[in-house]
Formats: sequence, C-alpha cells, structure tokens
Amino acid sequence: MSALLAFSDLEVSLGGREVVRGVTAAFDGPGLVAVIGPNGAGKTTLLKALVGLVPYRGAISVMGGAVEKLDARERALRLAYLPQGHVYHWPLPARDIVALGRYARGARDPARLPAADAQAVDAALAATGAMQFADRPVTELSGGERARVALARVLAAETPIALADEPIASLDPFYQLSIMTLLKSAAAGGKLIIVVLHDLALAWRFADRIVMMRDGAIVADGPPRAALTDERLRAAFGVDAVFIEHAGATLLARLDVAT
Amino acid sequence: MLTAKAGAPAFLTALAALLVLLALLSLGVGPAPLSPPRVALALLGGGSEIERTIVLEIRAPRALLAILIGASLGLSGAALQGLLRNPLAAPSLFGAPQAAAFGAVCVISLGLADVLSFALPFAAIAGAFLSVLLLVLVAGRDASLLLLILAGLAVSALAGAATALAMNLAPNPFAALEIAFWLLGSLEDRSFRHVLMTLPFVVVGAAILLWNGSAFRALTLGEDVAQSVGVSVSRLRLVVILAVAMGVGASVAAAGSIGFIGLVAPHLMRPFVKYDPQRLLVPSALAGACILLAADIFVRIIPSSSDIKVGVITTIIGVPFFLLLIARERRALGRSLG
Repeated sequence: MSALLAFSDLEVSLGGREVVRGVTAAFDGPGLVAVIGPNGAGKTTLLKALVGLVPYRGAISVMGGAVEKLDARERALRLAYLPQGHVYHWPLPARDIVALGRYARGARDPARLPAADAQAVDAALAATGAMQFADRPVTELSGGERARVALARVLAAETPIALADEPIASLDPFYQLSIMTLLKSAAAGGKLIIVVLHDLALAWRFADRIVMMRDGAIVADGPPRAALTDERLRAAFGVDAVFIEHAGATLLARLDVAT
Repeated sequence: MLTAKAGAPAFLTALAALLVLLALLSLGVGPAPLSPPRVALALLGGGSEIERTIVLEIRAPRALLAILIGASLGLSGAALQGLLRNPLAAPSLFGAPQAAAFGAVCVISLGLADVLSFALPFAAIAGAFLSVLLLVLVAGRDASLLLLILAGLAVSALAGAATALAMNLAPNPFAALEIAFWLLGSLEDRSFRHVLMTLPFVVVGAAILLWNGSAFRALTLGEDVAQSVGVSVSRLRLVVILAVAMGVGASVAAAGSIGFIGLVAPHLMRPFVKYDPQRLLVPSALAGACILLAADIFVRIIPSSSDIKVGVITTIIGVPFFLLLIARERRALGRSLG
C-alpha cells in the first residue's frame, strides 16, 4: 500500500538559496506529525512545496499520485493547507471563509451550500469554538478568533491530509491546548495532520511523530522520545531540556539556553 | 448571475429599474426632446415616423452603447479588484484604456483600416491586454497598493506617449485632430455598426468574468490559499486579464477613452453586497451602465457652446473620487511604503 504522503530527495531553492536540501520522508497512515526546527530551518518552505506553491526538485506523492500530475482541484480534495499568518483581504463573514474549505468539492456559493457542505462547515465552526462569531466580518475579529476561523476552514475541507503552519501562534494557552487536542483527535479519527510548531513542550506532548529540521535538512524523524534527545536539541536549537516525571507521564518541563 | 436568481435583493431590482428609466431618458434627450411615454411608444412601433427614426436609429445605438460600455467597465473594475484584492484597482488606473487607445490609434493613423472595421476593436483589445499583463508582471504576486499604482502610472504614461507619437506621425493634421477628439471619449453619432462591433467582445468578456466569480471569493485568503483550495491562480490571472482587455478594448474602440467607471461603480456597490467579491460583479455592471447613461444624458442637457465629451465628464467626476479613496486608504498606503 502506498503512503498517504511521501517525498524523496526534495530540494527547494528560493532566490538562489537552497532552503530545503534533499529531504526524504514517508507518512504511511494517519497521525499527528509536528515539524519543529529553529527559525529559517525550512519548515514553511517544505510545507509550501508539499502544497505545490513553490517549485521544487525531487518527488512528492500524495495518496499514491505524483503531486505535479494533480490539478489544483484534485490536490485540494486530498490535502488542505493553513499558511502562517491569517490574511483576509475583504471583510467577509467568518462562515463564508470557512465555507471556502468546501470550494474544491464544488460548493462555490456560501449562501447556497448543499446540506453535506453546510454540515461540514457547522461542524468545523463548532469544533474550533468559532460558532459564536460565525456571522461577524472576519476582519473585525481578534487574532485568536481569526486563527480559529482559519483552522475551521481547513477542518471543513475534510481532506485525508492537512498541513498547518504554526496554527496556534497567536492563541492564548486555553485555545493552544484546545486546538492541539482538536488536531490530535482529528488525527486519531484517521487524518494525517502535519503541523509546524515552535512550542517544543506541546510537540513533545501531542505529536505521534516529530520531524526536526535544521538548515534545510531533516536531522531527526521519529516518535518524540527518539527525536527529542539532549544532543539533538542542543545541536538544532542550542537549548537543554529538563524532563520530569509527573502523574506517570514524562513532561518536557523546561528549556535552558545551552552553555 | 447568481444574485439575479429568485429572491434577488431589492437593491438589484432598484438598480435595474434605474437603468430602464435612464435608458428611456437617454432616448428622449437631444435637439428634439421626447418625453419617456413618447419614447416608449416609439419603441413599441407607435408615434410618428420621425419620432421612430430619432429613437430607434439615432438614439438607440447611443443608449445601447452606453449600457454595454458602462456595464463592461463596471464589471471589469470589480473583477480586477477581486483578482488583485484591492479596492483601488481599475482598468483606467492601470493604463488599459490608454493602451487600448494606442492600439486603435495605430490602426487608424497608419491607415491600416477605417474606423468602422473590426480591426479596430482587435487592436484595442491587444493594447489593453498587453498593458494589464505588463502591469501584473511588473508588480508581481501579492503586489502592494503602492506598487500597483506606481506600475499603473508608468504603463499609462508609456501608452500616452506612444499614442502621442502615433499622432505625431499621423498622415495629416485633420487625422491627428480627429484622433485627439476620439480619445476624449464620446458616444455621439454612433450607429448600430458600433454596437455590433462592441457587443460580442463585451458579452464574451463578461461571461468569462462571471464564470470565474467564485474564484475571487477564494482569493480573499490570498493567492497561496486560493491555490490550495483548488483555484488555478495563474490560469485565472491570465483569463481575467484577457476578459478585462476584451471589454475595455472593445469599449475604447467604439467610444474612445472613458475612464473611472471601473473604479467608481464597484466602490458604490460594495456595501450592498457586504464586500463579497463575487456578488459585487453583477451590481457593478448595472451601476456602471447607469453611470455612463447618466453622464451621457448630462453632456446633452448642459448648456454649452461646444459638445462636452462624456469621457471628460466621467474623468472629472472620477478623479476627485479617486483622491477621496486614496485619502481613506491612506493607512494601507502607508503600510505598503513601510
């Protein structure tokens, strides 16, 4: 059986600089994957290449099909993408933004969504706690509210694969935790979710698998315990981690600048 | 297209009613004034033979052209604003009419074809297409407001200079004068031949823009996300530029340069559709048609020793409107500077 998502010898150059240098990985089934790495490691560029937004060399296959052979719509049906930052050019109601998640399925008019599409939109709004401001213009929402609308759009797409670039960056602790819990349960429900995170403690706690990048290369790839070793944290991030045992679980309790 | 279905908002009905009223007025205004009922009678085949000739053969082409061109410019403006996610985008700010005029002037002044030939709209469409394509290429993806407007300024200056050169090289001074007046933009003395030369391009261009309307809503989230939800953004860009060029080019070929309707019409309509870039399209077309009809009625009723060209009026109203928009968008402009 072919992997849900796989790439091999993937290289991306931006403005003459090699940002992603020959990375290879395969994701066979569902799960929550955290992509971590210091600033400029190539995490965002890797995600963009997987969505087909930047030119690349190497091979990417999405559910068995070479990504360059899929047109925009076919790819959108398999893979949803949430970029960093949340740009809204017009003050549309949040619900209409979430309905764009159904675009590739042919639901083009948010005022006349077929029942199945409307249901997916409502479910995504409810899951992200965005229902109470669904009818407000998205440009008038707070940063955290916008981030939840953006995530709701990706969930509403109901794709087997979702890629999210720092989806919890502007959220308070309550919503950081609830969004991570939500992503975790979506992964448990059969989705492959690849999420770029800066918070190593959350990656440690929630991810089934961690992909660590540095200087455009994957320097570790495996379950959190295998990926987040002292040497690797020190080499990639320049930090030392303190792990403690609490209520039967190992927690990443503290990070210190390595000396 | 979508908004015109059953349950169309009251404002769309009101716009359509206004359009009919203005069309009747337009058919009645002129050296021999006719009241709207007499116009209606003449349209239905009644009234005197002279009235029928005036309404059907002299004024009907003029009113039809005003509707076609106004609608096309309004729709083109709304589509460009949707494509570029920017309320200040408009064909006339990007040098499209100027470049279309250059295309047409080349054909006329080089004596390649006469003013009633189909070569004229094709040359004008080519000019408009090249100018908008140049602009989008120069400004690049996710271009800021400032960049678009600067690039537009450069493109229109280039097109203006090229037109001046073509007039310079015109075979005789009368040809140059004729071109100069035509550039001002007018609907006077137009025949059904002009309507016929405009109609297919305007209709095809409009159909393309309306067909792609939902992609403009997806672009609310920027080009990357639009691409990721299933819009082929590079294809869309090319198709929209082509459709806008068809509308603007054919309009300029028939009536010269009529500016700023593409900026004003969508702006007036936007609050009524809650800023939805797809729902904006049809109302902008209707509003554009109303504005041009009204302006063309206005130039016929103001007392003046010589004819005021309708293109001059739309620009005189449009430019202060543009300044007002700039003042309101000042903060966005400042951001794109920083």
